Amino acid sequence: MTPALTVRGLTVDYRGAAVLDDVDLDVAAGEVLVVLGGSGSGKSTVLRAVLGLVPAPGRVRAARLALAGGRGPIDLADPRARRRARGDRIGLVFQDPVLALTPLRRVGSLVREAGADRSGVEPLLAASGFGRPAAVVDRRAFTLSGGMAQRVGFVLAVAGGPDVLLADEPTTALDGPARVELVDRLRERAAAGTAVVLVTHDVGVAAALADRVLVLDGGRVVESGPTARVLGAPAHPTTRALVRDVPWALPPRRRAPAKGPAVVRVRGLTKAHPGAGAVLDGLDLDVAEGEVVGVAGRSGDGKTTLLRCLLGLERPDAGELRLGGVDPAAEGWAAVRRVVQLVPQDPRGSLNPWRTAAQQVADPLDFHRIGDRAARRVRAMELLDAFGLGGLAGRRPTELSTGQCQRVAIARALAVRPRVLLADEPASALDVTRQAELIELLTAVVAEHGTSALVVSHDLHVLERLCDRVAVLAEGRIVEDLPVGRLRADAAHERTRALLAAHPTDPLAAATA
Amino acid sequence: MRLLDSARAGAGTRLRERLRDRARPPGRALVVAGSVLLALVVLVVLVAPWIAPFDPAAQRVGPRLAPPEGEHWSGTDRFGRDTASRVLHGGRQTLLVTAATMAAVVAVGVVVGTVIGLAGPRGDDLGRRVVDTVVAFPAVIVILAFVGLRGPSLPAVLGGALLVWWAPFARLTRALVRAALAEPSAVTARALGASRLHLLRTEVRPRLVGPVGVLVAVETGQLIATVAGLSFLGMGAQPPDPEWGAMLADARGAALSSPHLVLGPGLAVLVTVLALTCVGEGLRDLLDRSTQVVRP
Amino acid sequence: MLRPAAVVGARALAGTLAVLLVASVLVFGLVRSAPGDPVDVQLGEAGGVGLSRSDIDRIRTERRVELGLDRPLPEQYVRWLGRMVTGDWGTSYVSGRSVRAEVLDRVPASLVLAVSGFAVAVVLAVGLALLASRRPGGPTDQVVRLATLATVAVPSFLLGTLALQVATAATGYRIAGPATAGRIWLPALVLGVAVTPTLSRVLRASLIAERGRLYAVAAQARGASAGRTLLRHVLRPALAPALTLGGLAFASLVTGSVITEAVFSWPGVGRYAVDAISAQDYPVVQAYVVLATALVVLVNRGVDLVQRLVDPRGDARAEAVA
Repeated sequence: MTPALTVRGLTVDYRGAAVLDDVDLDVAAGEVLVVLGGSGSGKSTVLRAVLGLVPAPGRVRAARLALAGGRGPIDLADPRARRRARGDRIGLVFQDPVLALTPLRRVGSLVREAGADRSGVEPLLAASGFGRPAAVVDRRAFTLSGGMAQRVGFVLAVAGGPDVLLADEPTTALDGPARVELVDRLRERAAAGTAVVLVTHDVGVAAALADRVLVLDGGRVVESGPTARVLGAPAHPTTRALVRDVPWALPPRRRAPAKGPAVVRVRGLTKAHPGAGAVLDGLDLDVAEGEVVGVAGRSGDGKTTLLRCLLGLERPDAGELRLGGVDPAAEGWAAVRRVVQLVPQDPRGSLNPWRTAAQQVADPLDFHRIGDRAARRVRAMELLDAFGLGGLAGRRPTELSTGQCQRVAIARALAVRPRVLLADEPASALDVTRQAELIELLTAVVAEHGTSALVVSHDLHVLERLCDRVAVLAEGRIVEDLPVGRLRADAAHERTRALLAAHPTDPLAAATA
Repeated sequence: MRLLDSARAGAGTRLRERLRDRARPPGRALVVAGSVLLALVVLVVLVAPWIAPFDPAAQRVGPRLAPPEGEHWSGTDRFGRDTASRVLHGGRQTLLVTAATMAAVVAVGVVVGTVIGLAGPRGDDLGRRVVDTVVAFPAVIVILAFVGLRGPSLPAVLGGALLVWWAPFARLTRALVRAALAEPSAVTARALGASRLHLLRTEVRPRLVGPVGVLVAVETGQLIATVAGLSFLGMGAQPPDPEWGAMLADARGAALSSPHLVLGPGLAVLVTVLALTCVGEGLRDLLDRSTQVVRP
Repeated sequence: MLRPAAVVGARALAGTLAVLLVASVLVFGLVRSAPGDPVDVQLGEAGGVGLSRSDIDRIRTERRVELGLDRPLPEQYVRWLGRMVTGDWGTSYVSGRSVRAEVLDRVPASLVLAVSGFAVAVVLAVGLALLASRRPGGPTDQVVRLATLATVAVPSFLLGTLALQVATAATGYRIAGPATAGRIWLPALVLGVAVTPTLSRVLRASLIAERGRLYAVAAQARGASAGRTLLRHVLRPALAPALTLGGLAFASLVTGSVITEAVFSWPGVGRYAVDAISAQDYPVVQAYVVLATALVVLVNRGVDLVQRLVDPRGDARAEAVA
């Protein structure tokens, strides 16, 4: 069988620094090839090089870059031929669907520009999952939600009927069910005879979709072969790390559910955003002393709003809060923050870039006037030592690795010895190895300091490893609330089941069986 | 949600960085050139009494309205005073008065902008509208209105300038304050219990200094040019002060027949504004670059 | 989020009226705070020769009643606003003619100059920005940048004076006479050149920024040519920030480019106002201030509307650029 896309000896460098080094790959019509790699592996550059879209100082060399198919062969090394092939013979699905759409253009006009004729627009949109495509055609791209933009982006990639479909980390920005939907779409295209190249760091997606897997590390191909072989019995250390650190492979949390008094008590929490309607609609939630509770939900279901209300960053329209035994309405948010601290989403972004690790760890003590200056400094040094950052007290975030930033952020949250930790998607900005570290770290902290925690995340796998109990947020309320051990067996609500379906116990099982 | 943001920032910044890389203009060179030029102007103005060839107020040191040549290398005015000497001496008042006005408008603008930036949504909305409206008014119009009702004088021009010139600073400050407070690090600090004062000190100030500095440089140049222009029309400084604007006012009637009278103080204004503009533009380049480096 | 056009229009109108009203209060305050009683100023103008002290007091009281200066401030304001809105702007102390007639005589000249100057600026700025943004940091970009930098620094009176010198020597350009087509090109050019740098700089920056965005790359990935990417994808979002600035520039041109008008003896509103200020011709100054204020507000509101049509995403981004 002749491959639809052939790449031989692809090398890309920026001012001498190699990003890709002698990469070969083939995809046949109807086949799905997954290029797997961590950040900085050069996996996205492969796709850009094929399309001739490597930005300015980048230099691309290849022994062979060619397209074959029913409409004749095309040499992709020839810029003019390559430009004609874009969109028409090769489609590209972007990582960030919202940013990849020209904001001011209308959907219909974009789809026509991408190669569909007037009558073909609505069927294409319908096939991509829009129930009422006519309603979308005249909307401008910037008014679309993330999920809608994702579907439109897919339509644009396939509108020209390409022989080869490239996808650049298309699932990274999606929550579980949306990821499942996209994987189905890609599988449909492959079944229809399109060659698919999917670039991702997500081993789960690779397992669900790939016929063959190619693993990149530092710009080189370190391993390639059939999915079952590469993921089931990885030979290279890079692949082994990718497979080993996935959250579902980590040991599950085993602990008897705590039965102490509630340290977090939320009753009837209601919040509407102008133009968006009710985001939270009479939400009730409890966290017991020493308990770790996860709140799961899809994007846009109000997880972030819930957390912002609990942090006093947004004022709820109605409802009662009691956090760490403090009523913010009566005693003020300062008193709440004295006992409730935040583990942020993006560890590096959450730290002030101009201040040292020691200063930042001591900050909460300063905010709440705990101890004198010397005592605060001592406490900060103790915490940094405890987190293995003893020698880094004088460093600023730019001089720390992401993992170190993460530990500084957690040490800072513990400085005031809080009764409750609130964690906001603590693992989602991290690669799998960093995720595994974080899960281990948070578990240890909670056990050691006896704090309670509320963890908000869309990643059920992470919550299963971290929490005693998982509550599912949908349509502004908690629709399911189960101890983690009973979640998979006893989930009754359809939203919970959809989340569970998107996070199977072992996503690799099907592929490696 | 956050994942989306950071992934987006990753891809976007890398690409933008590369574009910037190529777009990187000679920021440092501009700053250095501008600063040297500015220092030179200030120095010359300071030592004017020792280097000026003639007494700036002495009449008939040469023929009247002589074109630039010989001893009076930039000519003489209608009282036979030496133009070069008058330009050298005139800088002192111009620079001092401009600096004082600028200090006032920057202080007012930054304070107003900070107050609006810290206000709740309603206060912010109202404040933003007011500031935007003031920004929208051409400074020259407002100054003319003020001068029209007070009578032409340098204080009237500067008073008019005070009425409007704070607004761009307030607008920039407000935007920067709000952007800084929306940064994840500021939001986190707030959630941990940081006071407003702490946030202003640690999160807002470092993000404010650079852009405001750029604006100060650029706007100081514009203020000098505007005041000089209005003086040229006779609205500002009045003769016989040896002040650039006043000299221009003096020269206006004879601008066509004796262009050197405009050229002398005009070039002085040009050089000063050029120096300030270079500093401002160069700083902007450097700043663009440094904001790229803050997050690797 | 998207409201029907009628609602948007009504809101815009109400907003404009509100701003005009607030501005009118400010102008009234400014006018009333001027040193010296308007009656005294007028009496001074009339000479007041040969009148006894009591005569002057009597006349003053009569005039004050006549002018309504004895009424409470709010009432004075309403009457003043009525007169300003209906065009009853009084008579010039200097010429004795109706201020309205004199101003209206001069508006066309200013308008023509402003529009042609702005046209020059737009053509130059768009051209330069497109040229410079093709290869950011390339030789063209650097040259354009240095040229605009130098132009920003040239004060407009100097630019005008020099241009006039050169044109007089080279083409026998004459500044005397009425506002004619044969004469307008030079001031229009000077105005245009003076406004170009700020416009082109912002446009260049936003073109480069928009071109670097993912959607522009995506358009190319779908086969759009460089030209199509620019015209159909990048240009419109890139225009928004430049529009705001263009609006500000146009507003200042329309209200009379005082310096250029003075240099070129252009018989426009700006020069008229400057002459009136020198002569302390109080009614003229007041009329000018009122007219300029109204014009600025209207032009800015118009630009706001245009901008909302061009980029309906709102003004968040334009703010960030400024």
